[in-house]
Amino acid sequence: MRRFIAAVGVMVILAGACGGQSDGDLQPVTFMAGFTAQANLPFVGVYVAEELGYFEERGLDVTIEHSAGGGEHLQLLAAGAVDITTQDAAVLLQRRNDPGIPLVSIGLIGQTGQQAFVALSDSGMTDPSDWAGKSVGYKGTPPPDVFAILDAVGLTEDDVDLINVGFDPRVLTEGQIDVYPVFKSNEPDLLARQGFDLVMWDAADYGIPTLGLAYVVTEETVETQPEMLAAFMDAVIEGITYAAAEPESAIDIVMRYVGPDGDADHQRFILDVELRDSISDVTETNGIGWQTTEQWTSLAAHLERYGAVSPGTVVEDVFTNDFLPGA
Amino acid sequence: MGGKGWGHDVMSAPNLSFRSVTKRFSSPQVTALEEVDLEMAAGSVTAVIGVSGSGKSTLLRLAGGLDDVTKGQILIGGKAPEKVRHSKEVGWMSQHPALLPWRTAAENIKLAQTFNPQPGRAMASPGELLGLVGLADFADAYPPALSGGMQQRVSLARTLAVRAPLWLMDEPFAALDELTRDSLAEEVIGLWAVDRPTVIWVTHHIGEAVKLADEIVVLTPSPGRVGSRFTIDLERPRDETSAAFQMIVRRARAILHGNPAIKPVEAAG
Amino acid sequence: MRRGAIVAFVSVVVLLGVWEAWVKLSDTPEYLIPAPSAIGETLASSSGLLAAAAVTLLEALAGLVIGASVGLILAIAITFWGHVEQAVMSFALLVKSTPIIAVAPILTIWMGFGYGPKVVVTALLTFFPVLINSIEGFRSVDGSIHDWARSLDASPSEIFTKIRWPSARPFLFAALKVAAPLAMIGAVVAEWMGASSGLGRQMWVAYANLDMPSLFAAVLVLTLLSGGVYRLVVEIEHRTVRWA
Repeated sequence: MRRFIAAVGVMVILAGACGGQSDGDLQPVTFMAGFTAQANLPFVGVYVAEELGYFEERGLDVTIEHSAGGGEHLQLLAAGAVDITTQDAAVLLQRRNDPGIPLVSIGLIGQTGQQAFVALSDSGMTDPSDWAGKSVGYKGTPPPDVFAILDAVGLTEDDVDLINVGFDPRVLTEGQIDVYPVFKSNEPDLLARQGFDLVMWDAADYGIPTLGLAYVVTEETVETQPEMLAAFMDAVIEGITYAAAEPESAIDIVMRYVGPDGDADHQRFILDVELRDSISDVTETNGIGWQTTEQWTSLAAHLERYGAVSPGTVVEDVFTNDFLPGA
Repeated sequence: MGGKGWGHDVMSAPNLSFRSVTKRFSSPQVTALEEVDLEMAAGSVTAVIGVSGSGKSTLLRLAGGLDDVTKGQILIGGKAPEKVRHSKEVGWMSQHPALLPWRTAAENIKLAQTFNPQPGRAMASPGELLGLVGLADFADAYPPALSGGMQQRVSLARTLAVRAPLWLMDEPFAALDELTRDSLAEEVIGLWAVDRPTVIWVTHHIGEAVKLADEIVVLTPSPGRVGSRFTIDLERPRDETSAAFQMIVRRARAILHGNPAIKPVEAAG
Repeated sequence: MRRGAIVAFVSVVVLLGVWEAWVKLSDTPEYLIPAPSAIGETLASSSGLLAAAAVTLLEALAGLVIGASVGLILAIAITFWGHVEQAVMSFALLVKSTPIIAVAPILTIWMGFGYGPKVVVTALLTFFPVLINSIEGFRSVDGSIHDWARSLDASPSEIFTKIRWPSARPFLFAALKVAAPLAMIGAVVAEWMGASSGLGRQMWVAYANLDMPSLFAAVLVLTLLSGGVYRLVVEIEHRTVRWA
């Protein structure tokens, strides 16, 4: 028995030594994309940085994982199994609030929100005031944006039929729902390809603050691993910059992660939409991913107003630009 | 029997005629009966004796129209067995009690009478029939709670319940002890005497055969053939203790054991 | 019997105690693993959970009744007309092999967001075990009983109602015991595809909000309900099949 343990011990040490040698002095980092592989801009930054060696140049060995789309990427982040993930800004504020996960945004890639509402052009609807008497879908729980849009056009919750829909946009085309919630980079393209003309309403057009995807870590990681985070953000911002300049090559890289069944044209659509939404006055001045107190405060106030978070958000704790190249 | 006469408004008991009856099965391949020729008079009781594999049960199934002959012909009152069955004239009792476990003893008997209503004829109640077989207190018992012998008695009562003109009984007393056999044999004969159906009675028990039957048919096995047959001319009720009875039993036993020195003899009453 | 119940109860209490202690002592945040006390609190304060349970239960029972009826009817058809067996079984196997995840969205597109898809999903799930067991049950008649019935020239329908049907009842109940919890799960999964009420919806929303106490509470209620429905079937069986 003792000899067996000794043999195992030797093998473990050898394996460790060998493993160490092949990676040199790279620091291991685990990144989990908040959804399955696709051309969301934060994902693209990571894919490009990995494939073109930007991580390695900066001494990082990044393992790329993907979440199935539930909330597990946040749980894994909180548990320390994942170092960096992505999350929608509004959801970040909500999760900080309840159940209280200490999330911090270290780079706000989506400078405006990802979501919108669509209806078939054939429906004849042009303005959200046309929603009166119609069915309006939501995924999960009714988002504050819905109520905000209703407010903006002088309607109330009672004027529409709010229905929890699944993730299949065919409920819109088959007439089961009048107004369907979409990700601007996703379903509109799919539906357009099937020959459906849509009319789209973006909450941002009604003066409602919306923000998109951010790179997210825990407060603890901000404290304990600032060099790693700086290196990481430097690499991914370079990746995003590359994708903006060479979108076709970026898509080729993305397709390696999406897999052979993926649709490159659709991925390009996603990338184009998200590149467009990554640019704002803030980023023109300070670079991609920059975030301001005003942006977060507006969003927090909006969520508080509609009861999505309880009052008292300390916005300073929510984000940091310390790790961005422009810092 | 207690004098519960059911009257004489019965369907006439048929005679049976087996002509060159052969029955072969395919899987497993076996010839159960071969060239069986038998005649049974209307209203007679024929005991069929034989070791296992001599085709006794098959004979009953063919007579009851539950199976078809491979060769030959069976006529019952001049009709094919299947027709007789369709006319609801058969009272068939298998070796297995075949009771429905979700019905009480009395309900099992009732069901037989439901299947075979015999319109316009009086039927004994399940309670009376159970009393006949000594199970009056078990009318509400479920078969799984009864012993094998008791289940068989219920099955017997059930067969008797339909007042069929043809009784086909496969070892009805097999699971019973000797005392019960004896008392039941008395009851059954008493009941038979009322309607005088034609009866084929399969048994292993020589004494029982001699007690009940007008004729004994011995089947030899593999393939089943008629080995020997002899009549019993004793008057009923038959006294087992009488010398005449004992002599017939001895003769029957000798014949069964194949002693060539003793020929089938018509016993004097 | 009583001793068994006491042992079970004590084990559960001990288990909960260990769980509570571990969560508190290791300072595990609620959004990773909730303590039993947090779950209990959520259960006590949540009025919506009971209403949600009623919705899911209704969907499950409706689907169970429909699925079981269809399975039974098809089994009866096969018993009387043997040549339809192949067609029915091919169809049944197709239904059985199709995962709900694929079927539920299509049903939602076709039937909308109401009870329809949930009931259909549970019916599809429950019909197969009832079909198979009923066929077995109807065929399970003892050979000598069948011979006896034939000797009395009982008609095929008499044989069915008086012999095959009672004979099949234990098999039918066995199938229902399998199908009842299945129906609950089916209703829950169908709700995940789009619903405004029900336990499935509660679970979905709780998970999306990383509200672990609510999620666990909903799962607990689901488990208790499934167990309850199962026990209901057992009770009904005991009352109607006294001889078993």
